[in-house]
Amino acid sequence: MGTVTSAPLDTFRPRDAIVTALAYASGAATAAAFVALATAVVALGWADLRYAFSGPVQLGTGLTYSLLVVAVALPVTMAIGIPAAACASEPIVGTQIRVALLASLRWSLGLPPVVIGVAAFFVAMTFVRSAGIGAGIAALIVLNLSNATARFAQAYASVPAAAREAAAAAGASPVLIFFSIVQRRAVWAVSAATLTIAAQMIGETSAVLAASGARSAQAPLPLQIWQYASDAGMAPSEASSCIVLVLSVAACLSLARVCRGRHRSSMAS
Amino acid sequence: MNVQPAGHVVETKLEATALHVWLGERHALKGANISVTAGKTVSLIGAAGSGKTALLRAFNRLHDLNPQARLQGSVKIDGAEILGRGIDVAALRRRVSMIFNAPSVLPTSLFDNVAFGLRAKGIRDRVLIAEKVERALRRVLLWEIASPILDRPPDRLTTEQLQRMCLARALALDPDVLLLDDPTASLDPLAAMAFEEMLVPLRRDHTVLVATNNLEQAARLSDSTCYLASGEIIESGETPLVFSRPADARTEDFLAGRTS
Repeated sequence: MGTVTSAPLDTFRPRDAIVTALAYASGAATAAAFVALATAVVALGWADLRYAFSGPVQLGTGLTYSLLVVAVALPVTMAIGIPAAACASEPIVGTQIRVALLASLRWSLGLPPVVIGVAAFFVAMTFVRSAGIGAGIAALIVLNLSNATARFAQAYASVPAAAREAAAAAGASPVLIFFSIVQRRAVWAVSAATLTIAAQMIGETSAVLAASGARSAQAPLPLQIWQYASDAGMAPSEASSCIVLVLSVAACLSLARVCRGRHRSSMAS
Repeated sequence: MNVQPAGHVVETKLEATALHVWLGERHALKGANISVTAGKTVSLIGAAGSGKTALLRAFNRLHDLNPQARLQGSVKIDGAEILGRGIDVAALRRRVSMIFNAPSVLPTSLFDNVAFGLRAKGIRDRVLIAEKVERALRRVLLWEIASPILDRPPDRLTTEQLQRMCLARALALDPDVLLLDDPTASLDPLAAMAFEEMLVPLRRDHTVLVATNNLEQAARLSDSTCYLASGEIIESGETPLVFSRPADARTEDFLAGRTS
Protein backbone atom coordinates (compact mmCIF):
# COMPACT_ATOMS: atom_id res chain seq x y z
CA MET A 1 0.00 0.00 0.00
CA GLY A 2 2.45 2.63 -1.12
CA THR A 3 5.19 1.39 1.18
CA VAL A 4 8.35 0.56 -0.67
CA THR A 5 10.89 -1.64 1.05
CA SER A 6 14.09 -1.39 -0.93
CA ALA A 7 16.13 -4.52 -0.76
CA PRO A 8 19.72 -3.65 -1.71
CA LEU A 9 20.21 -7.01 -3.38
CA ASP A 10 17.39 -6.29 -5.82
CA THR A 11 19.45 -3.58 -7.49
CA PHE A 12 21.96 -6.21 -8.53
CA ARG A 13 19.50 -8.54 -10.19
CA PRO A 14 19.48 -7.00 -13.69
CA ARG A 15 23.26 -7.00 -13.79
CA ASP A 16 23.41 -10.55 -12.44
CA ALA A 17 20.96 -11.65 -15.12
CA ILE A 18 23.08 -10.08 -17.87
CA VAL A 19 26.31 -11.58 -16.56
CA THR A 20 24.68 -14.99 -16.12
CA ALA A 21 23.21 -14.87 -19.64
CA LEU A 22 26.58 -13.89 -21.09
CA ALA A 23 28.32 -16.66 -19.17
CA TYR A 24 25.81 -19.24 -20.39
CA ALA A 25 26.07 -17.95 -23.98
CA SER A 26 29.88 -18.00 -23.90
CA GLY A 27 29.92 -21.46 -22.39
CA ALA A 28 27.43 -22.78 -24.90
CA ALA A 29 29.29 -21.17 -27.83
CA THR A 30 32.62 -22.63 -26.68
CA ALA A 31 31.12 -26.08 -26.20
CA ALA A 32 29.36 -25.86 -29.58
CA ALA A 33 32.59 -24.77 -31.31
CA PHE A 34 34.45 -27.64 -29.71
CA VAL A 35 31.78 -30.17 -30.67
CA ALA A 36 31.61 -28.74 -34.22
CA LEU A 37 35.38 -28.93 -34.62
CA ALA A 38 35.51 -32.47 -33.25
CA THR A 39 32.61 -33.53 -35.48
CA ALA A 40 34.25 -31.97 -38.56
CA VAL A 41 37.59 -33.62 -37.85
CA VAL A 42 35.97 -37.00 -37.24
CA ALA A 43 33.72 -36.67 -40.33
CA LEU A 44 36.65 -35.64 -42.47
CA GLY A 45 39.19 -38.08 -41.13
CA TRP A 46 37.20 -41.15 -40.12
CA ALA A 47 37.01 -42.58 -43.63
CA ASP A 48 40.72 -42.05 -44.13
CA LEU A 49 41.73 -43.53 -40.81
CA ARG A 50 42.14 -47.06 -42.10
CA TYR A 51 43.73 -45.79 -45.29
CA ALA A 52 46.08 -43.60 -43.33
CA PHE A 53 47.44 -46.60 -41.48
CA SER A 54 47.74 -48.84 -44.50
CA GLY A 55 48.25 -46.52 -47.46
CA PRO A 56 51.13 -44.37 -48.63
CA VAL A 57 50.58 -41.85 -45.83
CA GLN A 58 51.97 -44.42 -43.41
CA LEU A 59 50.44 -43.07 -40.26
CA GLY A 60 51.45 -46.30 -38.55
CA THR A 61 55.09 -45.59 -39.34
CA GLY A 62 54.65 -42.05 -38.05
CA LEU A 63 53.19 -43.40 -34.82
CA THR A 64 56.04 -45.87 -34.44
CA TYR A 65 58.54 -43.05 -34.92
CA SER A 66 56.57 -40.91 -32.50
CA LEU A 67 56.79 -43.60 -29.86
CA LEU A 68 60.48 -44.05 -30.60
CA VAL A 69 61.16 -40.33 -30.30
CA VAL A 70 59.12 -40.06 -27.09
CA ALA A 71 60.75 -43.22 -25.71
CA VAL A 72 64.17 -41.59 -26.08
CA ALA A 73 63.22 -38.01 -25.18
CA LEU A 74 61.07 -38.79 -22.15
CA PRO A 75 63.72 -40.61 -20.04
CA VAL A 76 66.29 -37.93 -20.88
CA THR A 77 63.82 -35.19 -19.90
CA MET A 78 63.07 -37.08 -16.67
CA ALA A 79 66.77 -37.63 -15.94
CA ILE A 80 67.35 -33.87 -16.11
CA GLY A 81 63.98 -32.70 -14.86
CA ILE A 82 63.72 -34.81 -11.69
CA PRO A 83 66.99 -33.63 -10.07
CA ALA A 84 66.13 -30.07 -11.12
CA ALA A 85 62.69 -30.48 -9.56
CA ALA A 86 64.29 -31.83 -6.37
CA CYS A 87 66.47 -28.74 -6.34
CA ALA A 88 63.43 -26.52 -6.76
CA SER A 89 61.12 -28.25 -4.28
CA GLU A 90 63.53 -29.49 -1.61
CA PRO A 91 65.24 -26.42 -0.17
CA ILE A 92 67.84 -28.43 1.70
CA VAL A 93 68.95 -30.23 -1.46
CA GLY A 94 69.52 -27.18 -3.58
CA THR A 95 69.49 -24.09 -1.42
CA GLN A 96 72.23 -22.31 -3.32
CA ILE A 97 70.74 -22.37 -6.81
CA ARG A 98 67.10 -22.79 -5.86
CA VAL A 99 66.20 -19.14 -6.26
CA ALA A 100 67.85 -18.90 -9.69
CA LEU A 101 66.19 -22.14 -10.80
CA LEU A 102 62.72 -21.06 -9.66
CA ALA A 103 63.15 -17.72 -11.44
CA SER A 104 64.25 -19.37 -14.68
CA LEU A 105 61.35 -21.83 -14.45
CA ARG A 106 58.88 -19.00 -14.02
CA TRP A 107 60.35 -17.19 -17.04
CA SER A 108 60.49 -20.24 -19.27
CA LEU A 109 56.96 -21.29 -18.40
CA GLY A 110 55.77 -17.87 -19.52
CA LEU A 111 57.04 -18.49 -23.06
CA PRO A 112 54.78 -20.32 -25.53
CA PRO A 113 56.26 -23.86 -25.78
CA VAL A 114 56.10 -23.72 -29.57
CA VAL A 115 58.53 -20.76 -29.56
CA ILE A 116 61.07 -22.67 -27.46
CA GLY A 117 60.48 -25.80 -29.51
CA VAL A 118 60.97 -24.15 -32.90
CA ALA A 119 64.11 -22.37 -31.67
CA ALA A 120 65.45 -25.63 -30.23
CA PHE A 121 64.59 -27.48 -33.41
CA PHE A 122 66.57 -25.09 -35.61
CA VAL A 123 69.49 -24.97 -33.18
CA ALA A 124 69.52 -28.78 -33.12
CA MET A 125 69.32 -28.88 -36.91
CA THR A 126 72.37 -26.63 -37.07
CA PHE A 127 74.39 -29.07 -35.01
CA VAL A 128 72.88 -32.35 -36.16
CA ARG A 129 72.84 -30.99 -39.76
CA SER A 130 69.57 -32.65 -40.64
CA ALA A 131 65.91 -32.27 -39.89
CA GLY A 132 65.95 -35.90 -38.82
CA ILE A 133 65.14 -37.77 -35.71
CA GLY A 134 68.10 -36.44 -33.69
CA ALA A 135 66.95 -32.85 -34.11
CA GLY A 136 63.40 -33.92 -33.27
CA ILE A 137 64.51 -35.58 -30.04
CA ALA A 138 66.67 -32.62 -29.05
CA ALA A 139 63.83 -30.21 -29.73
CA LEU A 140 61.42 -32.38 -27.79
CA ILE A 141 63.68 -32.44 -24.72
CA VAL A 142 64.28 -28.70 -24.73
CA LEU A 143 60.63 -27.98 -25.47
CA ASN A 144 59.42 -29.96 -22.47
CA LEU A 145 62.22 -29.56 -19.94
CA SER A 146 60.96 -26.50 -18.09
CA ASN A 147 57.42 -27.80 -18.14
CA ALA A 148 58.54 -31.24 -16.94
CA THR A 149 60.67 -29.75 -14.16
CA ALA A 150 57.77 -27.61 -13.01
CA ARG A 151 55.40 -30.59 -13.02
CA PHE A 152 57.82 -32.80 -11.10
CA ALA A 153 58.47 -29.99 -8.61
CA GLN A 154 54.72 -29.62 -8.18
CA ALA A 155 54.46 -33.37 -7.53
CA TYR A 156 57.16 -33.24 -4.84
CA ALA A 157 55.69 -30.11 -3.30
CA SER A 158 52.39 -31.97 -2.84
CA VAL A 159 54.06 -34.20 -0.24
CA PRO A 160 53.21 -32.67 3.14
CA ALA A 161 56.02 -30.90 4.97
CA ALA A 162 55.14 -33.00 8.04
CA ALA A 163 56.52 -36.12 6.34
CA ARG A 164 59.85 -34.41 5.63
CA GLU A 165 59.99 -33.02 9.16
CA ALA A 166 59.27 -36.40 10.73
CA ALA A 167 62.08 -38.00 8.75
CA ALA A 168 64.45 -35.12 9.48
CA ALA A 169 63.61 -35.29 13.18
CA ALA A 170 64.60 -38.98 13.13
CA GLY A 171 68.03 -38.00 11.86
CA ALA A 172 67.61 -38.62 8.14
CA SER A 173 69.88 -36.79 5.72
CA PRO A 174 68.34 -34.57 3.02
CA VAL A 175 69.12 -37.16 0.35
CA LEU A 176 67.53 -39.96 2.39
CA ILE A 177 64.48 -37.79 3.01
CA PHE A 178 64.13 -37.16 -0.71
CA PHE A 179 64.54 -40.76 -1.84
CA SER A 180 62.85 -42.64 1.00
CA ILE A 181 60.03 -40.25 1.84
CA VAL A 182 59.36 -37.64 -0.85
CA GLN A 183 59.87 -39.94 -3.85
CA ARG A 184 57.82 -42.73 -2.28
CA ARG A 185 54.94 -40.51 -1.31
CA ALA A 186 54.97 -38.69 -4.64
CA VAL A 187 55.23 -41.79 -6.81
CA TRP A 188 51.71 -41.49 -8.22
CA ALA A 189 52.02 -37.74 -8.71
CA VAL A 190 55.33 -38.25 -10.54
CA SER A 191 53.70 -40.95 -12.70
CA ALA A 192 50.87 -38.55 -13.51
CA ALA A 193 53.38 -35.82 -14.37
CA THR A 194 55.34 -38.22 -16.58
CA LEU A 195 52.21 -39.27 -18.50
CA THR A 196 51.13 -35.65 -18.90
CA ILE A 197 54.57 -34.78 -20.25
CA ALA A 198 54.37 -37.73 -22.65
CA ALA A 199 50.99 -36.44 -23.84
CA GLN A 200 52.47 -32.98 -24.33
CA MET A 201 55.45 -34.42 -26.16
CA ILE A 202 53.12 -36.14 -28.59
CA GLY A 203 50.76 -33.19 -28.91
CA GLU A 204 53.06 -30.21 -28.98
CA THR A 205 55.79 -31.67 -31.13
CA SER A 206 53.49 -31.77 -34.11
CA ALA A 207 52.78 -28.08 -33.68
CA VAL A 208 56.48 -27.33 -33.37
CA LEU A 209 57.34 -29.28 -36.48
CA ALA A 210 54.44 -27.77 -38.40
CA ALA A 211 55.53 -24.28 -37.36
CA SER A 212 59.14 -25.03 -38.25
CA GLY A 213 58.05 -25.93 -41.80
CA ALA A 214 60.14 -29.07 -41.83
CA ARG A 215 58.13 -30.63 -44.62
CA SER A 216 61.02 -32.17 -46.44
CA ALA A 217 62.12 -34.32 -43.58
CA GLN A 218 63.74 -37.56 -44.62
CA ALA A 219 62.63 -39.47 -41.57
CA PRO A 220 59.04 -39.25 -40.44
CA LEU A 221 58.68 -37.47 -37.11
CA PRO A 222 55.70 -37.45 -34.76
CA LEU A 223 52.55 -37.99 -36.75
CA GLN A 224 53.86 -36.14 -39.80
CA ILE A 225 51.11 -33.53 -39.79
CA TRP A 226 53.47 -30.85 -41.04
CA GLN A 227 54.19 -32.81 -44.20
CA TYR A 228 50.68 -32.18 -45.50
CA ALA A 229 50.07 -28.74 -44.04
CA SER A 230 50.14 -26.95 -47.41
CA ASP A 231 48.06 -29.46 -49.36
CA ALA A 232 44.32 -28.86 -49.01
CA GLY A 233 43.59 -32.13 -50.74
CA MET A 234 45.22 -33.97 -47.91
CA ALA A 235 42.76 -32.58 -45.36
CA PRO A 236 41.13 -35.99 -44.71
CA SER A 237 44.54 -37.49 -43.99
CA GLU A 238 45.37 -34.61 -41.71
CA ALA A 239 42.07 -35.08 -39.94
CA SER A 240 42.75 -38.78 -39.50
CA SER A 241 46.20 -37.93 -38.11
CA CYS A 242 44.53 -35.48 -35.79
CA ILE A 243 42.14 -38.16 -34.54
CA VAL A 244 45.04 -40.49 -33.76
CA LEU A 245 46.95 -37.62 -32.15
CA VAL A 246 44.02 -36.62 -29.96
CA LEU A 247 43.34 -40.22 -28.99
CA SER A 248 47.02 -40.75 -28.08
CA VAL A 249 47.07 -37.60 -25.98
CA ALA A 250 43.72 -38.45 -24.39
CA ALA A 251 44.99 -41.93 -23.48
CA CYS A 252 48.05 -40.45 -21.75
CA LEU A 253 46.00 -37.81 -19.96
CA SER A 254 43.42 -40.38 -18.82
CA LEU A 255 46.16 -42.53 -17.31
CA ALA A 256 47.64 -39.39 -15.73
CA ARG A 257 44.25 -38.64 -14.23
CA VAL A 258 44.08 -42.13 -12.72
CA CYS A 259 47.57 -41.64 -11.25
CA ARG A 260 46.58 -38.27 -9.79
CA GLY A 261 43.55 -39.92 -8.18
CA ARG A 262 45.78 -42.58 -6.63
CA HIS A 263 48.12 -39.84 -5.39
CA ARG A 264 45.24 -37.93 -3.80
CA SER A 265 43.99 -41.05 -2.01
CA SER A 266 47.49 -41.92 -0.80
CA MET A 267 47.90 -38.37 0.55
CA ALA A 268 44.53 -38.54 2.28
CA SER A 269 45.26 -41.84 4.02
CA MET B 1 79.44 -32.36 18.69
CA ASN B 2 81.57 -32.07 21.76
CA VAL B 3 82.54 -35.06 23.83
CA GLN B 4 82.47 -34.63 27.58
CA PRO B 5 85.29 -36.17 29.63
CA ALA B 6 84.38 -39.39 31.44
CA GLY B 7 82.70 -38.76 34.76
CA HIS B 8 81.94 -35.16 33.93
CA VAL B 9 78.38 -34.29 34.85
CA VAL B 10 76.74 -31.76 32.59
CA GLU B 11 74.13 -29.88 34.55
CA THR B 12 72.78 -27.69 31.79
CA LYS B 13 71.56 -29.80 28.91
CA LEU B 14 70.00 -27.18 26.68
CA GLU B 15 70.70 -23.49 26.61
CA ALA B 16 69.47 -20.71 24.35
CA THR B 17 70.87 -17.23 24.70
CA ALA B 18 69.49 -14.10 23.04
CA LEU B 19 67.79 -16.32 20.49
CA HIS B 20 65.82 -14.62 17.75
CA VAL B 21 63.84 -16.54 15.13
CA TRP B 22 62.31 -14.94 12.06
CA LEU B 23 59.86 -16.96 9.96
CA GLY B 24 59.69 -14.89 6.81
CA GLU B 25 58.66 -11.42 7.96
CA ARG B 26 57.36 -12.64 11.31
CA HIS B 27 59.63 -12.21 14.31
CA ALA B 28 58.58 -15.45 16.00
CA LEU B 29 61.05 -15.43 18.89
CA LYS B 30 62.53 -12.26 20.36
CA GLY B 31 65.74 -12.71 22.25
CA ALA B 32 64.79 -15.82 24.22
CA ASN B 33 67.02 -16.92 27.09
CA ILE B 34 66.36 -20.35 28.53
CA SER B 35 68.38 -23.01 30.27
CA VAL B 36 67.20 -26.59 30.79
CA THR B 37 68.82 -28.81 33.39
CA ALA B 38 69.66 -32.36 32.38
CA GLY B 39 67.02 -34.92 33.30
CA LYS B 40 64.32 -32.34 33.93
CA THR B 41 61.03 -31.75 32.16
CA VAL B 42 60.21 -28.21 31.11
CA SER B 43 56.84 -27.09 29.77
CA LEU B 44 56.48 -24.22 27.35
CA ILE B 45 53.08 -22.62 27.68
CA GLY B 46 51.54 -19.68 25.87
CA ALA B 47 48.91 -18.76 23.35
CA ALA B 48 49.09 -19.89 19.72
CA GLY B 49 51.82 -17.96 17.91
CA SER B 50 53.66 -17.15 21.14
CA GLY B 51 56.88 -18.80 19.92
CA LYS B 52 56.74 -22.20 21.67
CA THR B 53 57.27 -24.23 18.51
CA ALA B 54 59.84 -21.76 17.16
CA LEU B 55 61.87 -22.27 20.34
CA LEU B 56 61.54 -26.07 20.25
CA ARG B 57 62.64 -26.28 16.64
CA ALA B 58 65.76 -24.27 17.35
CA PHE B 59 67.07 -27.06 19.60
CA ASN B 60 67.24 -29.64 16.81
CA ARG B 61 67.69 -27.17 13.95
CA LEU B 62 64.45 -28.13 12.30
CA HIS B 63 64.20 -24.52 11.13
CA ASP B 64 66.80 -25.54 8.53
CA LEU B 65 63.97 -27.15 6.56
CA ASN B 66 62.24 -23.81 6.17
CA PRO B 67 64.04 -21.55 3.69
CA GLN B 68 62.11 -18.60 5.12
CA ALA B 69 63.48 -19.15 8.64
CA ARG B 70 66.39 -17.10 10.02
CA LEU B 71 68.00 -17.53 13.41
CA GLN B 72 70.27 -15.29 15.45
CA GLY B 73 71.77 -15.93 18.85
CA SER B 74 73.20 -18.96 20.55
CA VAL B 75 71.85 -22.46 21.14
CA LYS B 76 73.98 -24.92 23.07
CA ILE B 77 73.61 -28.57 23.92
CA ASP B 78 75.91 -29.89 26.63
CA GLY B 79 77.76 -26.60 26.30
CA ALA B 80 78.46 -27.01 22.57
CA GLU B 81 77.12 -24.48 20.09
CA ILE B 82 74.80 -26.06 17.53
CA LEU B 83 73.98 -23.12 15.31
CA GLY B 84 76.29 -22.27 12.45
CA ARG B 85 78.18 -24.38 9.98
CA GLY B 86 80.12 -27.58 10.50
CA ILE B 87 77.53 -29.28 12.68
CA ASP B 88 76.37 -32.81 11.82
CA VAL B 89 72.68 -31.89 11.88
CA ALA B 90 71.46 -35.46 11.33
CA ALA B 91 73.49 -36.65 14.33
CA LEU B 92 72.18 -33.71 16.36
CA ARG B 93 68.59 -34.68 15.56
CA ARG B 94 69.24 -38.24 16.68
CA ARG B 95 70.37 -36.86 20.06
CA VAL B 96 67.53 -34.34 20.22
CA SER B 97 64.47 -36.17 18.94
CA MET B 98 61.14 -34.55 18.33
CA ILE B 99 57.53 -35.53 17.96
CA PHE B 100 54.88 -33.28 16.56
CA ASN B 101 51.33 -32.22 17.34
CA ALA B 102 49.91 -34.82 14.93
CA PRO B 103 51.30 -38.28 14.15
CA SER B 104 53.74 -38.17 11.24
CA VAL B 105 53.46 -41.57 9.61
CA LEU B 106 56.12 -42.49 7.07
CA PRO B 107 54.96 -44.32 3.91
CA THR B 108 56.17 -47.72 5.01
CA SER B 109 55.41 -50.57 7.45
CA LEU B 110 54.98 -50.11 11.19
CA PHE B 111 58.35 -51.80 11.83
CA ASP B 112 60.14 -49.63 9.29
CA ASN B 113 58.48 -46.53 10.73
CA VAL B 114 60.07 -47.24 14.10
CA ALA B 115 63.36 -48.44 12.59
CA PHE B 116 63.65 -45.46 10.24
CA GLY B 117 66.01 -43.44 12.42
CA LEU B 118 68.18 -46.47 13.17
CA ARG B 119 68.65 -47.18 9.48
CA ALA B 120 69.27 -43.47 8.81
CA LYS B 121 72.01 -43.73 11.43
CA GLY B 122 73.62 -46.45 9.36
CA ILE B 123 72.74 -49.46 11.54
CA ARG B 124 72.38 -52.53 9.31
CA ASP B 125 72.36 -55.32 11.91
CA ARG B 126 68.84 -56.73 11.62
CA VAL B 127 68.88 -58.36 15.03
CA LEU B 128 70.00 -55.17 16.71
CA ILE B 129 67.36 -53.15 14.83
CA ALA B 130 64.65 -55.64 15.80
CA GLU B 131 65.73 -55.49 19.46
CA LYS B 132 65.69 -51.71 19.51
CA VAL B 133 62.32 -51.54 17.76
CA GLU B 134 60.79 -53.98 20.25
CA ARG B 135 62.27 -52.11 23.21
CA ALA B 136 61.00 -48.77 21.91
CA LEU B 137 57.51 -50.16 21.28
CA ARG B 138 57.44 -51.70 24.75
CA ARG B 139 58.45 -48.38 26.31
CA VAL B 140 55.47 -46.66 24.70
CA LEU B 141 53.20 -49.60 25.69
CA LEU B 142 52.45 -50.47 22.08
CA TRP B 143 54.22 -53.80 21.66
CA GLU B 144 51.20 -56.00 22.36
CA ILE B 145 49.12 -54.22 19.72
CA ALA B 146 51.92 -53.67 17.22
CA SER B 147 53.72 -57.01 17.25
CA PRO B 148 51.18 -58.91 15.08
CA ILE B 149 51.08 -56.14 12.45
CA LEU B 150 54.71 -55.04 12.32
CA ASP B 151 55.09 -55.76 8.61
CA ARG B 152 51.94 -53.86 7.62
CA PRO B 153 51.36 -50.14 7.19
CA PRO B 154 50.22 -48.73 10.53
CA ASP B 155 46.89 -47.54 9.17
CA ARG B 156 44.93 -49.75 11.59
CA LEU B 157 46.25 -47.91 14.63
CA THR B 158 44.27 -45.16 16.31
CA THR B 159 45.60 -41.60 16.33
CA GLU B 160 46.86 -42.05 19.88
CA GLN B 161 48.58 -45.31 18.96
CA LEU B 162 50.14 -43.65 15.92
CA GLN B 163 51.46 -40.90 18.16
CA ARG B 164 52.95 -43.61 20.40
CA MET B 165 54.54 -45.17 17.32
CA CYS B 166 56.08 -41.80 16.45
CA LEU B 167 57.41 -41.54 19.99
CA ALA B 168 58.81 -45.07 19.65
CA ARG B 169 60.62 -43.92 16.47
CA ALA B 170 62.22 -41.17 18.52
CA LEU B 171 63.01 -43.42 21.50
CA ALA B 172 64.58 -46.13 19.33
CA LEU B 173 67.49 -43.74 18.87
CA ASP B 174 68.07 -43.43 22.64
CA PRO B 175 68.04 -39.63 22.46
CA ASP B 176 69.32 -37.41 25.27
CA VAL B 177 66.53 -34.90 24.73
CA LEU B 178 62.89 -35.28 23.73
CA LEU B 179 61.15 -32.30 22.18
CA LEU B 180 57.38 -32.73 22.29
CA ASP B 181 55.43 -30.20 20.27
CA ASP B 182 51.94 -30.31 21.76
CA PRO B 183 51.88 -34.11 21.40
CA THR B 184 48.27 -34.55 22.54
CA ALA B 185 46.79 -31.76 20.42
CA SER B 186 45.19 -34.20 17.97
CA LEU B 187 43.88 -36.57 20.66
CA ASP B 188 40.58 -36.69 22.50
CA PRO B 189 40.75 -36.09 26.29
CA LEU B 190 40.85 -39.79 27.23
CA ALA B 191 43.50 -40.63 24.65
CA ALA B 192 45.45 -37.53 25.69
CA MET B 193 45.39 -38.68 29.31
CA ALA B 194 46.56 -42.17 28.33
CA PHE B 195 49.39 -40.69 26.25
CA GLU B 196 50.36 -38.39 29.10
CA GLU B 197 50.49 -41.29 31.57
CA MET B 198 52.75 -43.16 29.22
CA LEU B 199 55.09 -40.14 29.15
CA VAL B 200 55.57 -40.06 32.93
CA PRO B 201 58.14 -42.88 33.23
CA LEU B 202 60.03 -41.60 30.18
CA ARG B 203 60.84 -38.38 32.02
CA ARG B 204 63.31 -40.27 34.19
CA ASP B 205 65.55 -41.18 31.27
CA HIS B 206 65.45 -38.04 29.16
CA THR B 207 65.54 -34.29 29.31
CA VAL B 208 62.11 -33.31 28.05
CA LEU B 209 60.94 -30.01 26.59
CA VAL B 210 57.23 -30.02 25.95
CA ALA B 211 55.22 -27.27 24.28
CA THR B 212 51.60 -27.54 25.26
CA ASN B 213 48.34 -25.64 25.18
CA ASN B 214 47.03 -27.84 27.97
CA LEU B 215 47.83 -26.06 31.25
CA GLU B 216 46.81 -29.03 33.41
CA GLN B 217 49.15 -31.21 31.42
CA ALA B 218 51.98 -28.71 31.91
CA ALA B 219 51.28 -28.65 35.65
CA ARG B 220 51.22 -32.44 35.89
CA LEU B 221 54.17 -33.26 33.68
CA SER B 222 56.84 -30.64 34.20
CA ASP B 223 59.40 -29.70 36.78
CA SER B 224 59.68 -26.19 35.37
CA THR B 225 57.37 -24.05 33.29
CA CYS B 226 58.14 -21.26 30.90
CA TYR B 227 55.45 -18.83 29.76
CA LEU B 228 55.84 -17.19 26.35
CA ALA B 229 53.81 -14.41 24.79
CA SER B 230 54.31 -12.70 21.42
CA GLY B 231 57.72 -14.34 20.96
CA GLU B 232 59.08 -13.33 24.36
CA ILE B 233 59.73 -15.43 27.43
CA ILE B 234 57.69 -13.65 30.07
CA GLU B 235 58.37 -15.86 33.03
CA SER B 236 59.99 -19.14 33.88
CA GLY B 237 60.45 -21.06 37.08
CA GLU B 238 59.48 -24.15 39.01
CA THR B 239 56.07 -25.34 37.91
CA PRO B 240 54.30 -25.14 41.30
CA LEU B 241 55.57 -21.59 41.76
CA VAL B 242 54.63 -20.40 38.29
CA PHE B 243 51.14 -21.85 38.61
CA SER B 244 50.47 -20.79 42.20
CA ARG B 245 52.34 -17.51 42.52
CA PRO B 246 53.23 -16.12 39.09
CA ALA B 247 55.60 -13.20 39.30
CA ASP B 248 54.34 -11.42 36.21
CA ALA B 249 50.82 -10.09 35.83
CA ARG B 250 50.73 -11.31 32.20
CA THR B 251 51.40 -14.88 33.34
CA GLU B 252 48.68 -14.58 35.95
CA ASP B 253 46.25 -13.30 33.33
CA PHE B 254 47.10 -16.14 30.97
CA LEU B 255 46.72 -18.81 33.65
CA ALA B 256 43.40 -17.30 34.69
CA GLY B 257 42.21 -17.23 31.09
CA ARG B 258 42.08 -13.43 30.98
CA THR B 259 43.25 -11.47 27.96
CA SER B 260 45.74 -8.85 29.05
